[in-house]
Amino acid sequence: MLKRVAFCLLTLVLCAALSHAHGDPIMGTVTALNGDKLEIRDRNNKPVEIMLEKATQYFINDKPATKADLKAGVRVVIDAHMDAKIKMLAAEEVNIAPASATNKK
Amino acid sequence: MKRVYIKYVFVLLLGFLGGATLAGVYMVSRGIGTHEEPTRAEAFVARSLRHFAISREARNARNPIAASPAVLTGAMAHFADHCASCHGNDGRGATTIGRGLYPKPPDMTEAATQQLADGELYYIIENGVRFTGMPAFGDGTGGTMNNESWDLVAFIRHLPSLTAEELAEMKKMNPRSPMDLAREEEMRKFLRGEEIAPSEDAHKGHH
Repeated sequence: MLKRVAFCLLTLVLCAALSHAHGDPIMGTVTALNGDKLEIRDRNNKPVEIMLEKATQYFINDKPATKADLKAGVRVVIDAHMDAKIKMLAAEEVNIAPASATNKK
Repeated sequence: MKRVYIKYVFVLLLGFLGGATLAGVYMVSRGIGTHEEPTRAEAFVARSLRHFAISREARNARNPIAASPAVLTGAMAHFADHCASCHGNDGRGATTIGRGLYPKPPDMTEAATQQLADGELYYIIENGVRFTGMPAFGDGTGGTMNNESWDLVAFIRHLPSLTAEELAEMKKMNPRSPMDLAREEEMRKFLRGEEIAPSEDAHKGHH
């Protein structure tokens, strides 16, 4: 019983920490992909540069995708963190709009 | 004889004080924040201590569970639910919590973890590691009989060959808060091409 209570408490603390520390994902439209540097325009139409890393994961409709699916004009939602070493946002997960989606600006 | 004894105590005391002073200077100069990585010396000492702290009997315990597809599927769900918030679904530790820990969780696909014996991995899951973020998931009474932990050992061995499909499956199994669910719905709407209210530079405050 005590173990379950402790586990529930730990899970709650971790979830709270995660939701607090992890800000909103970046939503925008791809403008360019130069090597590993992805350029997007966010929802406020501001340019944002994000580094794509080896460990970055790509998804379309929750199914695996690849970097090759990133094309200019496609909407993306990116989970990223500020990497202190490269002083840039580094992408953890890139969710790409399916080709069927209408990309309205 | 007594003089030699006093001399010994004095030297030991001096060594202890010197060590404590150095440790104090080191702590003050580096601070107590968790952003930095441990130095190589710290990592070496910590790993050596962990190695010696696990008895030979525990270390030599062999995984009684064969890594069948059914075992790996169950352990994958368990890992996604219990471990991934710190270790990441892929075991590389690149998560918000993982990056903020000191020491950071290891990249479990690399040799430093993969070369640990099955018994060592089991012991760490069951008993945790002091002065790190790794909690004990066993209640301390299971000995080497907790099959769920052995299943996880099998899954840790599988991490280096995890497929993109498995990662996508795990993503669905990760625990979500109501806030996460609302955010996911907003993401889906955006990806479908629907218009949603612009945010106030959300990524600027992103950690």
